[in-house]
Amino acid sequence: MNILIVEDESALSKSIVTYLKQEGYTCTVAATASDALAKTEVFDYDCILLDIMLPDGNGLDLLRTLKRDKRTDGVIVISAKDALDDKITGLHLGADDYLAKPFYLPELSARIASVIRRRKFEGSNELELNEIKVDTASRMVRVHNHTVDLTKKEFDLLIYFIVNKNRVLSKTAIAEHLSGADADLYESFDFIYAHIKNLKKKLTAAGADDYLKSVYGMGYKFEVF
Amino acid sequence: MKLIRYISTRYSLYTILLAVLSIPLFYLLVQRIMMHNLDESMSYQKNWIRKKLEAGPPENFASYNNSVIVAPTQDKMIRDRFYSKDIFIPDDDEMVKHRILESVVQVRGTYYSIQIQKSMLEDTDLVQSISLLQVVFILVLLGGLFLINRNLSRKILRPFQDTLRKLSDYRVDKHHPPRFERTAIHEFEALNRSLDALLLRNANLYEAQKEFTENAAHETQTPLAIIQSKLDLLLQTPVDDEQAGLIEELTLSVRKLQKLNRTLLLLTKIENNQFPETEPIDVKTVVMHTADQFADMIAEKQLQLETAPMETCRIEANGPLIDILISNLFSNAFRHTGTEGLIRLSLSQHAFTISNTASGSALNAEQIFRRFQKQSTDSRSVGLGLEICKQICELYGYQLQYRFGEQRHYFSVVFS
Repeated sequence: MNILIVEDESALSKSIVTYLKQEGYTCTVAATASDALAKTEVFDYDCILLDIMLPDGNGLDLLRTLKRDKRTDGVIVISAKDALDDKITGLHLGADDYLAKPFYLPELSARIASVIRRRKFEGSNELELNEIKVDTASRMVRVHNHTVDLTKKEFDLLIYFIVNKNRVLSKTAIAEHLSGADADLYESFDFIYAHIKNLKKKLTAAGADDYLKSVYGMGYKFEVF
Repeated sequence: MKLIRYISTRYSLYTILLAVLSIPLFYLLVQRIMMHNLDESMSYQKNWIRKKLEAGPPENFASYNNSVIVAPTQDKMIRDRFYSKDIFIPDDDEMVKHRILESVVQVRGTYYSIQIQKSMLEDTDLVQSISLLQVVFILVLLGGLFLINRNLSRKILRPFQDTLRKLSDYRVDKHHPPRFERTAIHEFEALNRSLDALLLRNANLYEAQKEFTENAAHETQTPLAIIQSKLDLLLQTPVDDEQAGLIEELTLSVRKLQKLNRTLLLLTKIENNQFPETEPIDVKTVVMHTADQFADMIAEKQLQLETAPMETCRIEANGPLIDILISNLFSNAFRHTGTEGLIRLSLSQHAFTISNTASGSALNAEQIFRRFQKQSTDSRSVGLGLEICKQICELYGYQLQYRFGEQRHYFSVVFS
């Protein structure tokens, strides 16, 4: 999977590259809009991470060019401007998703995976991890071909864990993934413990291995070998 | 009062005053000139008569209405006397003012008295003529003034009125500075030039401020994004418990800083009126939607949400801002309700009220809407939520009210 990271801040793009490489993605970085344009003219990417404010122009212009050329690359707009209109304009122009800076790398990874799934398989894709099969379109989870009934939050959690497998995920990152920007309203993140416990119980009851590990003091990890 | 009418009223009054005053002046002047003319002509006539007398004695000086009488006289004082007198004229059946020359001349040792009389223009006729002339003059003048004024306000004042209209329609947040109509009038042209400069300056300042706000967001969020990404990577390296705890605390601080930054920028934007677009909004929909968003959290915290039957409440405002307003009031109620507390919603045609079970006593109503005025020790709250609500309400002229009763905090937004 090829990812193009259009981001002028090298410290940030380096972090993204480091994280995504471990997920098996091939990453290319473009620091300017013209560089990005040149790269997209030569290669197709599965997903393009597009910063809006670039030293030599607006990322939205690049997005316009891509859409005008009927490119099928998935695009996630990452912006620090947090301006509502940027988000609306971005999505209106055909971006697949919008992520405001700062973001958690696991969150970014989950969004990328989701965009690629939707793009590649037109939404009817099955995520498969050993005995666990997840149909993201019908939101069905099967373990050893037995359907497991999960709540919406448990389902979201499972996808998030599978995409970020073998990663330590902090409780704050998980909480924010589940509740969006309102995560800070919770007095503690204990509530995610309940969801994780239930998910773990349901999966193991259906015969799956116990992948969900609690990493003491840090968070959780979906361990797959 | 219109400028042009203000000026022309004064001009007209002055003109009428002058015209009225000129009636006696004209009368006196005309009369003087006429008299002088008559006197002169009678003098010539007298001289002609004297020459005739030298040629021979007077025989027949009969004249119409006895206007000339020549007779020998005993009076030996040679003189000319002019005077005016009213004389009855039978033909007209009225008294007519006459100018009379009484003269005594000596011709070849004989003294003759010569009396010449000429009728003068009648005073009343003269006064009437002059008055009539002046009245016509005033009417023509006023009519002319009226036409000129109409023409002026239509032609010369049009660019000025155009300027005025464009200025009152102009909003620095919505439009480009207007282009004013060109005018030949020096003062208006100067006004337009000054306005052009002023508007351009304001537009530039506004743009600069907006840009600063946006750049500030960008410049602050980017380092935060870098810190966050490095923390995420750090978490993937072998860390012990203590380090993990440190990373978690750092993450929380970064999130808080991010939220604070965003909130301050939002406040600045509201204050700068950078949300000019408005749309018709059904508040009920917004409230229901927000309640849905909070449903999970309310359940997690084991709170109760009670919704009174809601009436339809329609307003005209910026959609995202109203979402923020309602959502912030929800967050506020949610945050400050203890476990198993009760949040109550109500919506009338003009007001939205949210109340929550209080854990303490009444809040200081004057302080709660102030920036960074935290009434709780909750470290995740940045103390700006109600300030934002206040700013949004001020923007649209809504009233944000707080009251305390039955051990509950009530926050209301009164629309309209």
